[in-house]
Amino acid sequence: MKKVRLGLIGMGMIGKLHAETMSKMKDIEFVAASDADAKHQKTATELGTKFYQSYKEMIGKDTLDGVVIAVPNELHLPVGATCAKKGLNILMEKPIAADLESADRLIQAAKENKVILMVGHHRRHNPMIEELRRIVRGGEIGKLVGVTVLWSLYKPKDYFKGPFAWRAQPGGGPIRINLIHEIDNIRYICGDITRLYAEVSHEARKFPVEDTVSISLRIAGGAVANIFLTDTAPGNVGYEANTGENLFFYQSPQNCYYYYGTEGVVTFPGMKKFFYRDPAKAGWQYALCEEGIKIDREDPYTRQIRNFCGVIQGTEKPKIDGVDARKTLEVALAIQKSGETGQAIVFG
Amino acid sequence: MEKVRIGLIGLGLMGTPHARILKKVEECDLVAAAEVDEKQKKVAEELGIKFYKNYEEMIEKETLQGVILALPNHLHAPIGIACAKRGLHLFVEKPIAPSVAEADRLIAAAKENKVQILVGHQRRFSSLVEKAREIVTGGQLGRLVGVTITWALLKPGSYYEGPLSWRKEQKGGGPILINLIHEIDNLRYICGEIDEVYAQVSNRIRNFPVEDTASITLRFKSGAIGTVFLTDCSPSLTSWEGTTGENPLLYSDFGNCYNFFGTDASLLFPQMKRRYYADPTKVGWNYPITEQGYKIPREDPYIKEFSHFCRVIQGKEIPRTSGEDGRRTLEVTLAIKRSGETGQPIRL
Ligand SMILES: NC(=O)c1ccc[n+]([C@@H]2O[C@H](COP(=O)([O-])OP(=O)(O)OC[C@H]3O[C@@H](n4cnc5c(N)ncnc54)[C@H](O)[C@@H]3O)[C@@H](O)[C@H]2O)c1
Ligand SMILES: NC(=O)c1ccc[n+]([C@@H]2O[C@H](COP(=O)([O-])OP(=O)(O)OC[C@H]3O[C@@H](n4cnc5c(N)ncnc54)[C@H](O)[C@@H]3O)[C@@H](O)[C@H]2O)c1
Repeated sequence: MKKVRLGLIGMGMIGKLHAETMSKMKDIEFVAASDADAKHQKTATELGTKFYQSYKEMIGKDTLDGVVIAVPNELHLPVGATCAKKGLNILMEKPIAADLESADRLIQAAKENKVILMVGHHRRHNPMIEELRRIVRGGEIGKLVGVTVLWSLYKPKDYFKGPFAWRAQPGGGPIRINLIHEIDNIRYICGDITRLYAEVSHEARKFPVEDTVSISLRIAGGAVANIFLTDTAPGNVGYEANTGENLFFYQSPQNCYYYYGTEGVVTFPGMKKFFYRDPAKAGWQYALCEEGIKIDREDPYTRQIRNFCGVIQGTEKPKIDGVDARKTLEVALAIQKSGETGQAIVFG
Repeated sequence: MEKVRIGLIGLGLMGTPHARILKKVEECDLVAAAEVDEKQKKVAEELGIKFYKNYEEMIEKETLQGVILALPNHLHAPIGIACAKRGLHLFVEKPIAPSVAEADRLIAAAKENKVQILVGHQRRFSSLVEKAREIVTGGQLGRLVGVTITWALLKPGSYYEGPLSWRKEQKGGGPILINLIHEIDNLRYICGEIDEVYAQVSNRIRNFPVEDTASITLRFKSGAIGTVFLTDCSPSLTSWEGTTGENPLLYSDFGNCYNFFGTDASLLFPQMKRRYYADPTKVGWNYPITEQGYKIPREDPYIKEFSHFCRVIQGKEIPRTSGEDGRRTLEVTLAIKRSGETGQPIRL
């Protein structure tokens, strides 16, 4: 089969990671990369790919099958729509767009131009998350009763400084930047969210954006979930701190998710299953059995690009398309709104 | 100093072990017990104390200073008031009463008759809770931003059967009123007043009139927020009972069930691990985190609680859980139940 020809737009924090990932993949053609900031030329050269300062020039000159877009959120719609018009398939970084209206317009643009719109919720490509989904949906822990999610990572001061000051301003903040991944994981593993309420606080950092959030959710089918998130406490518990997916983050061997079913409990990323073996000895006075779940680790970013290529070649379905990613964004924005209004939010 | 003369009313599931423990309390002279069920006379005989079928007769004939009420909830106020009128100090098992209005009547009667009320939230006497309170209120976590609690376990079928089937009825039954009230009292004792609650409640697993699962958010007066996940139908040990080992009848793995998050450190409970960044120039999610342990003496909270009650009667101490305090814990717990019914957050 012909190698898929890909381009990259945006070579910042996450774009650079995509560039490195694509340059290592033998079965694709990483044709070119672009960034408005010329300093990224160096990275492109090191990785052996062409560099453009203007992405429009790149998509005009080069023959591409698809583009990976990793520009700031407000640019997701304009850059995405321009690429769609060129007939290019899109892997858009998360969130799909800065707001729901932009998301709708981007989905529409992809539809009109008959291109694929896939969104970079890369955790869906982590084999541990896929296994968790299989276990929960396959009934291996019985009926799902509830889920708890913890995310307490301490963001250092310079995370909010200089060119990153936007992270402390409306549009930034841990709900849109971090919590959205937790929402997407719950949706992917369990199903849609039907109702939620959030307590949102910014009293520790005193930024316009929140630093701590506590949430109660209801999931289609009736299970409930709690999410607690703070970016201002030394907890070192949370996906990034516990899964070993990105070693920039200091790693602690803790569990950040518990999935509670009527027949068993699964911890993540410890990937252990707890249950009572003997139904005659099931209950709080008895010891629990523990079983490890075997998983082959694989880099989710590589698997994400591979899925994108498979979708382009027509052999695979996207793990998450525009419509699905819009729902994740909708829930994240609803959490923010619930925090502001003090009201519970019910989804139609 | 002379021992404090105590009478016990109710020799049921709770009252019987109370009687045995009271015999071990140094400051206490357990004089008599009253119980309508004459079968329980054997307990009094075993302990060498007088037995009355009628509590009124007991408080009239015996010279007592205080009484322990281990009675069904609906009798706490009426019998408590009768004892207060006789000038007896009151130890009232939790909850102080089935309703806030009845709690108010009891509190007013105690005030009028100048007797003290101590409400039986024995966990306040757990050395683990005492230490956690000292750590949080002493500022060892910095500013508290949030707390998460999981109370997930499997109650065996027999828990809800036969004479105990009231536990599945709305009037006084269900894990919110029976169990969660302890978590709420712990939280109030360690973190301060709670002034807002929200809950999603579900009974879809057991299909009883009462809930089997709840996902809750809280807001504290201090600005801290929190989540509580509660279920009694999942094979889990992540609960007070399954981690502290304080109830010898239940199995415990000595894991963690609470997390306290502050701006300077977090605390895993009941393992009592405080986590913080030791080097002030290396603070953030990419730096190693330091873990500090605490040595906690293992003490019987009930013995501590009853000897405290004796010292309250002697005028040496003020009640650790006063009537007002027990009333507030009840009020918050009932608000959680109500929020679950109405789907709306409740501000207290
Ligand atoms: N999946 C993840 O875990 C993850 C992690 C981080 C960021 N992201 C997402 O990736 C996107 C980028 O985030 P980031 O942290 O890398 O931001 P960043 O600011 O580090 O990078 C954005 C880059 O886009 C470039 N750019 C801006 N306008 C451009 C244009 N018109 N043409 C070409 N390049 C342009 C900037 O120069 C910059 O280098 C955001 O949508 C973010 O939400 C996803
Ligand atoms: N602190 C805790 O952890 C904890 C745990 C369990 C129960 N409790 C509380 O303890 C109280 C008692 O609960 P229990 O489980 O022992 O109930 P129970 O039904 O086993 O015991 C109550 C006893 O009171 C007796 N009684 C009823 N009316 C009486 C009267 N007029 N005079 C004398 N005796 C009378 C009953 O015959 C019964 O033996 C309740 O308020 C409950 O909420 C507290």
